[in-house]
Amino acid sequence: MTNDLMKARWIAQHILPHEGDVRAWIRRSLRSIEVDDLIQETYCRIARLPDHGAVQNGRAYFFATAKNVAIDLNRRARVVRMDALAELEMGEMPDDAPSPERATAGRHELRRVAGLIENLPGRCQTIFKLHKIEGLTQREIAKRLGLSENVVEKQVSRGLRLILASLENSQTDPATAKLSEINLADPKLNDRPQTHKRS
Amino acid sequence: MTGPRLINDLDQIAADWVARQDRGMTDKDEHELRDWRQQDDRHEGAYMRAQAAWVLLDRARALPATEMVVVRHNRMNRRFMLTAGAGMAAAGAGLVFGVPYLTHKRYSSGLGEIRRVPLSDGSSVTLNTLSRVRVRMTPLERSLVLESGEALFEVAKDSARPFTVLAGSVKVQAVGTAFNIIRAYDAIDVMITEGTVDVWDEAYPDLKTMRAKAGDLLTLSEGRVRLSQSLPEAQFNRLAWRSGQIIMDGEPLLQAVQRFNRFNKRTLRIDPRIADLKVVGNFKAQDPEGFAEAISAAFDLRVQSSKTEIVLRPS
Repeated sequence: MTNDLMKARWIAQHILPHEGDVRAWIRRSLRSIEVDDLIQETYCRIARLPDHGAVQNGRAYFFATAKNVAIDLNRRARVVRMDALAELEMGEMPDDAPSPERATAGRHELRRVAGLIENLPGRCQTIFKLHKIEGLTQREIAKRLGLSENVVEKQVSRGLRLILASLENSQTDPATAKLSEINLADPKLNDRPQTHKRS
Repeated sequence: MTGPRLINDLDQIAADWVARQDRGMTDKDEHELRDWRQQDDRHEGAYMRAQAAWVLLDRARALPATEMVVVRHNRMNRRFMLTAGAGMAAAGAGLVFGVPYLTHKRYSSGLGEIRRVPLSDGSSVTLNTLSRVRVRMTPLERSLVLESGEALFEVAKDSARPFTVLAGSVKVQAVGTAFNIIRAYDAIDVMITEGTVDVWDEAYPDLKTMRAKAGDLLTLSEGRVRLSQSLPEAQFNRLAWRSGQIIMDGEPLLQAVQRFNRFNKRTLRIDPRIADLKVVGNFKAQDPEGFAEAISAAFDLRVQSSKTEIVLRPS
């Protein structure tokens, strides 16, 4: 359990901020793959790494792992087109971009976190602020707001779900993007056929 | 579930688990979660990702209180605003002596960053690139220190609590107004965009307190003051940095270059012979390359660029 938490912290710091870029790269290079599957498998593989301290560059590691998972998925499912993988080999991996934006990454990160919470809908936002800023537990929040604990738990789950969705799209300045806009603009809201099945 | 079911249901299930875990799990829950995570690598991945997103939010606590809590546009009901306020005070102070929970706060902006900081009294400070301000709010006064850089202060009226800004030894006091202060290495510029302010220099007690009004631009340097008037349009141009722009209306090229260099790692350099060329135009502060191109085309200059700098010379 504590082990999970340590891993989650490491992932939050070194992997999560780059997800938008990794997804964009996958979409560009591997049009026929199911991005969510690939991302989830990649997180799984990263979480299973026994020693995260050995990873020097989380961003590069994220890209490299995603690529390996793509190759494995291809092997297993034989649905990803081979030429797509060839593209992947050739394609540019934008894993080293020391831009001025990166230089101020710490602050951006903070504001991004603030933005994630600010963009939650009303009651959900209130609950997240009480929890994450003031440090109240779900039970204390329920008491303070006169809600049942079940309602609070559901709101936590709902808010987290929205935040997970906005992390997918986070690239340059997520603090300015509103969740509603993201949802509407998300290409995945359109029906898309599954590209491969698991055996 | 009240949440919209979109995109990928594994994320919803993972979020459900994280929320449950945060509330407290029974043994039965623990078993179920373990089974679910082991069922499929994608489950494990979705779970770890959700858990990471959840702990990422813990960083919100590192944010200055004012930035997160004063949310005026939010449709919270009055009762809740009160309770949230009380909670904040308790959490922020963490002490029993009735110390105001906002004592000293520091805000700063990075290279190329523009940052607006709402203050607890309804005022706001907008920091230009590489600027730093310290804020102290007490029941008796609102005192700020511009430690470096440039900032626009928009002051909420509160005659009981004077609003002062110290920049170097120069002090500006305002009640219900807006003004911009620049701390350059050798001078301090105070530009008043609204209302009136009093300005004095604490290092030079002989210098009288000056009352300046909207449209005035005071430049203070080593006990000397220069007062000039600026038209509203010129003031607007001068404050274009708030939207990441640099607007030039006939100012010398050297001045444009200095403004760009405050925003960017990659510096612009010019031959002294062209320093006085008059520049007109609206440019993106973070695009010195674009600026160099436009200028070189307009004045027929030679551009030499490397990773660290862009040099402009007459051709």
